[in-house]
Amino acid sequence: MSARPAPVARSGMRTARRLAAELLTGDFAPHEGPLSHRGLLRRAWPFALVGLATLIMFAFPTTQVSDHATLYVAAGLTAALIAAVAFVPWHRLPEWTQAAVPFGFLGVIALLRESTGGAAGFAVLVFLPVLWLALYGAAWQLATSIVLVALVFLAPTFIIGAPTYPASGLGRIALWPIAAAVVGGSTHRLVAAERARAAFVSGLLSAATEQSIIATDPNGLITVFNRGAERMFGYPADEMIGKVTPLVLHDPDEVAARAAELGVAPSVEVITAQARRGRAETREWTCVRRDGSRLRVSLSIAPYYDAMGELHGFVKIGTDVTERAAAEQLKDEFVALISHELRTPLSSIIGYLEVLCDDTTGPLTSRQRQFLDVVDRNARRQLRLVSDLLFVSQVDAGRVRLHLDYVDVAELAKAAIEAAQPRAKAASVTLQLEADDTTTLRGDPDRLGQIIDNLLTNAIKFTPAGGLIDVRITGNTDTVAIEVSDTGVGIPAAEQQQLFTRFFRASTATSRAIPGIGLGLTIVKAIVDAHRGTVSVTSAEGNGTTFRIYLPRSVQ
Amino acid sequence: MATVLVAEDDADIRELVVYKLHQAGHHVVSVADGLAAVAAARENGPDLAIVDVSMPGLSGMQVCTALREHAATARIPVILLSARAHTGDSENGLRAGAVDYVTKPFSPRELVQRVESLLEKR
Repeated sequence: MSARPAPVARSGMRTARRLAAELLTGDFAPHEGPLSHRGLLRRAWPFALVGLATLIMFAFPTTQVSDHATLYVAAGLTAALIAAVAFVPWHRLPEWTQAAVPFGFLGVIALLRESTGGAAGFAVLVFLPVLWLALYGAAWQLATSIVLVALVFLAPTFIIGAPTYPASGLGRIALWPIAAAVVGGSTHRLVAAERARAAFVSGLLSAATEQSIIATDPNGLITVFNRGAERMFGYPADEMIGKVTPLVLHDPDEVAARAAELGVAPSVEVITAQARRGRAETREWTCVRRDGSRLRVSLSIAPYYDAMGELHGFVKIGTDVTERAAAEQLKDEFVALISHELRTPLSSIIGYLEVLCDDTTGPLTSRQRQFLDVVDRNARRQLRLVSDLLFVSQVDAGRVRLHLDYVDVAELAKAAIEAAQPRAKAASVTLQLEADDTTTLRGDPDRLGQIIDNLLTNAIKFTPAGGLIDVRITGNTDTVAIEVSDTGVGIPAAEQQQLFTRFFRASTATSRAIPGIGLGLTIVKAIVDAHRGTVSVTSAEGNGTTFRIYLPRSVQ
Repeated sequence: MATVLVAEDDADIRELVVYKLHQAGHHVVSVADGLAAVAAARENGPDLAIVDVSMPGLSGMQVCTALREHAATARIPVILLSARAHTGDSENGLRAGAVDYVTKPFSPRELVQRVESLLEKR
């Protein structure tokens, strides 16, 4: 499907061949309206047939010809008009000049009528040029055509004094141009709407220079290959359309692997399998350009159907994500490296501290032990930070994997409170737990423990001395709820929406210089999401904060 | 007394593990890279190996695979040590034939307990 106008034929033979092909196929491309040269050729063929039929008709002796000279002029004019349609470079002329063709054919009809002494049979033929004129949808062509039609009817009377029609006969004949005008007008509107739609689609295809848009028929044969696809893969559209399937653009190894995954043969079906089931699919593929270089493409594929609801083909829209994929890989490698490089020295620090504290190298004074506790606490704080950063990078990469098991959330809360007790005591904050009996669900124990740890850590940090932190674990048929409320400083309403955004720190934290980097709640949200749960917060500045988490009993 | 092979490129951590194992009464062979680990395993036939994942020469996973491929070393239980904590790393380690996977930083006390428990099972 190309929006480019067909080039004007340079040789008569080529034009004749094309004309013949178009006459045979009768293939009206929807976006080719009255203006296009191809459309003009197609609309001229009924006149060519009329001209031919007329000449044949007059070869039979039964046809009454009163004026042979006029008949020859009519035949000559028909041939001249056909030649004009074929050879005049209409696309370089203003649109209105095309009206000369139907006008000319109206003249032919007038001449035919005149040469047969005003035979009414030819009047019917005005249908064709009037229909043509009406396709332009402009009032002037229609008005002019009505005047010309009147002249066609009256020509024999004016020229040779043939008898005029009776009033009823004129009325019947007048129905033809009126019907033609109505049909032509309606067709014009339909064609105009179709042209607008096609122009929009064509504009869309051309405008998407950064996206490849490839359409295929139901068998996978390419039917559309836009400029963006040409640029992305380096193949010209005419080498692809109707000749190959999009499989030529894909990495064969990846296709084979995906085929094995789907249990299908490594054909174009690998790419269209999901879409064929009516499901739109977006996934990243490794593609191969014409020059053999590779690129990573995020490909969205969807089926499309015809008016009868039958599968008509597939549309694939691709975005080159090579740079993004490379950046992600670089980031992953960087995070892994940082994680490794930070964890290794921490392993030595924490490991040797344990050896020292186990008293195996000699007794420590209580003051020394106190110092080592400080070192240990800070080393573990740094370790938590490294783990949090690593976890967030896994969330980014969509690589959070849960190790599912049956887990009693109340037990997790008990353990978390126990672990947080020393910090709560140091901050003079009371921790309290209320739990139902039925709080078991299927989830990742470590990750769920991390949720409660993070919420407790925040609550302790933001609750002034003498405050209370209440942890409530309740269960109903489908869900288990975790509620952590504190009597702390609260969160300003305007900031509550951003609480789960990474690195966001509430003004109540920054103004009080409470340490943290703003990842705790991001991690809580990521874990809750991975468990298909919900998390919400209610808080008022100065009146404490409550976090509520609902987790389904089973992650599906 | 068992013989334990320790393969770890970080000298501090290697020394820490060796120290704890000595303390627990084991004979320790220690090396600093993957190739040496495979050679030492073939030479000494240890009862257990503690192998770091990220090492020069051969990675811990490759060491595991190499040990599994050789009849003399195929049955040595391997504990992998790793500072990487990407989800899926532990699965890969266990798939390579390790019997346990310990993420750094680890408690040396707990590591020795795991060693004892694996040795008891043998």
